Amino acid sequence: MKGYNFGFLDEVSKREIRRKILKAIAIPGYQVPFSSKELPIPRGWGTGGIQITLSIIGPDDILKVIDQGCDESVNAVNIKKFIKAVTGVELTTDTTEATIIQTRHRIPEESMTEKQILVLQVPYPEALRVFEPSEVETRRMHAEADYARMWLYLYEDIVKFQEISIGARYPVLVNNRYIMDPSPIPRWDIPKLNMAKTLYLFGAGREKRIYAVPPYTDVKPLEFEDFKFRVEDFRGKCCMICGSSDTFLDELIDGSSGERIYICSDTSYCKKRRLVRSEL
Amino acid sequence: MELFPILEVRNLTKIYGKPCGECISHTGPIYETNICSRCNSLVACADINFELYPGEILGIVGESGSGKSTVIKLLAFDVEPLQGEYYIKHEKIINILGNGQKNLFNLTPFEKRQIRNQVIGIVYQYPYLGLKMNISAGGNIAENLLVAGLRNLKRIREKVLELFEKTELPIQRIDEPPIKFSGGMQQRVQIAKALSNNPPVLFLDEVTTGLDVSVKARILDLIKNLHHDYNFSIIIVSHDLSIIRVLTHRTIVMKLGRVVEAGLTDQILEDPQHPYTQLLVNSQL
Amino acid sequence: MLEVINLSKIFYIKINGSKEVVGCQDINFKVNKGEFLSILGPSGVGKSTILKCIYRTYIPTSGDIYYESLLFGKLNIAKISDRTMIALREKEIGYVSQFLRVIPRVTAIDLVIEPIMKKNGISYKEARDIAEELLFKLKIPKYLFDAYPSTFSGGEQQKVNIARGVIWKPRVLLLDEPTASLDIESTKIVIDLLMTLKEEGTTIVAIFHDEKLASLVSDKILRISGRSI
Repeated sequence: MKGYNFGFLDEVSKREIRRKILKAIAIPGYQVPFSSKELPIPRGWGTGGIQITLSIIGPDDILKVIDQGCDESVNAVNIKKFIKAVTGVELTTDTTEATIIQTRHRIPEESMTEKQILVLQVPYPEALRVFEPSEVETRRMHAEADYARMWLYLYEDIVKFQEISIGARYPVLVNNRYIMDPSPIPRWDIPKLNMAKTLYLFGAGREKRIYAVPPYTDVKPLEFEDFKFRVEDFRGKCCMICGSSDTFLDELIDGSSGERIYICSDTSYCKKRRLVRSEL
Repeated sequence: MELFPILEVRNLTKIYGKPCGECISHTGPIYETNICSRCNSLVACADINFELYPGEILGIVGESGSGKSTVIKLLAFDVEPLQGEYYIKHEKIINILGNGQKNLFNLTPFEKRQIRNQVIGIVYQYPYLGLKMNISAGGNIAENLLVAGLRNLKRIREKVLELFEKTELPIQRIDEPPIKFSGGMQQRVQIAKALSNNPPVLFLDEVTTGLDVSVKARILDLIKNLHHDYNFSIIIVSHDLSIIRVLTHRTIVMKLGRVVEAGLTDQILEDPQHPYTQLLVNSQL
Repeated sequence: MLEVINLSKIFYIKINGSKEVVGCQDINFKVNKGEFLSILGPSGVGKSTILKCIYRTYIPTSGDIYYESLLFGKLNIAKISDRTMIALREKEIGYVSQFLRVIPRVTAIDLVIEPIMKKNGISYKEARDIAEELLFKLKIPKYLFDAYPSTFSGGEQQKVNIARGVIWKPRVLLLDEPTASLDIESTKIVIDLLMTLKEEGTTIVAIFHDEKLASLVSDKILRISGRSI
């Protein structure tokens, strides 16, 4: 695109964001404040993720952008088009082909490698915000690893509902030090964070925070010894398109019959499996 | 007899405002003020020295503004002193800090919180200072166990129930928030919370102030029984001499931020030496 | 065992100007181990003051109170620390005041049990048995054991008070008019109790009003007359 620097952001801004990313990698799970530049997209629409992607992307990268697992949703397509326009990089929908994947609310089903980076868009970076409105106080809690109230929150949840009611944004302990909001990914994706081969970068544009889970980092969901963390239960259900019974499924109501149907949330993986099946 | 104190306080001073350096020599009972005439700082307490022995109950008396509650707030790390030394000798301290005597005021916030959780129990005059009023009573007590690192729900639950029984709280109300409780029950929840990690030292700040006479008597009774069962050391702050008389072995009398007299409790009450103590004792109904 | 030399107590009252009130002046006496000393004298002469100085409820103004402690050896009670005095009170020296100080919501039996529970470390059941036997000896009706003493008669309260003082068999027992509010029969029971305690080795210092009674029970009598200012 003429009149703009490669990657839309100027080099000084990109350098700042890269430095913040390096700091975030050095302190896994710690929220690093950053300046959060203006983009031709309103804040709250993935600007944190976009800024990270634009700062780390090079001309040879291959980009995939997904929204809730879907490559073709309006949001994903718009972001993809924008990044393509300002960098000229190649786009893909294949998880294994991409070097950088920007995502909202999902981690792809296919396992990723050391050569890839997953960039997550984050609406609320502070895991402790659910019970503590004061930023001063949550920062103190992180600094002193004073997490009793997070545990108390879980205790109260169990006492009240006999269940931990948090679905997405399930709090995790990173590297045995910081409690982190993994962004609104389903519980299904939480185990993928632990000892992952891939670098995970989290960007919150509106809240001006960057944090990271480096490869091979210990990431544990908070759980009690006798009340364990559980992922969503899809037993007896399968994707009505590809027949998968080992992926995260979206529940839909069939418009004509009124029945509950399930389809894969990760659309590209679903497509891939269908292809494999038809070839067989 | 235990010859060594479990808790020692040396030269404890707290000044609110920007001290001019001469505040301490311009305030106190002699000057009949705790506001420095030169810089308007408030000398909440100054040059406080005392020790607490194992199993002992020590009273701190004085009227409002005498600085007695400030002393407790300092010892609970709720506020920071201008200067002072603070030592506790106990195996739990060694577990947290290792061997060797350390001035507890110089610790990191993390260490202080561990000590607050493991070594010190505190019950405040106002339940909302010690409790989260909208979280269940059981949860309030569980919080201390969670801080201590207990992650087994069943054991947490058992321990909370045990503390409920110990403090004579109705078990069926364990999951109700304290905001629905009476004043006496709120104090019991605070006491249960304070006891949750079996601290060797307990601070009670005006715990029965504002309660009905019969409720007050029952709380005092509970404290006496718990002291008998656990044999912890207690500092009890009160303006009420009847509580001091019934509960404590020794008493410190404070006025305008200073200790004016210290002694055996019956001696303080029957043979007070300082004019202020004489006035205080003679003001009792 | 206990030697009081030139003991004086003056109260300096500093409210509304200063006043001096003499409690007792130049008191001298000596009690050997296992002896029973009675203090006699008219009201207001400072008899209680002497006992309270020995028990350190009052800080002596001048003079010495030498005591041969089992724990610490010979010491001067007038000069020891509060902590040492607490230890002596817990282990060696008992004091029975003129009136029972009632503690809210504590029953008669628990009041009597308290000293041995704390000092001898025995079970509640054992302690209760001992206490019941003692109250029984003192002819306190059984139905009063678990009642609050604030509702008791003066005599009953005094008996509970004495039971509390003697149950733990202190080395030294200080008694302030132990029989003042008792009838003849009760007085006899209390005196018997004290004599038993004495035979077991307790040194007793008691204030009496009744000269006859005092001469009957004591090895020595200290008479105090008026005091000068």
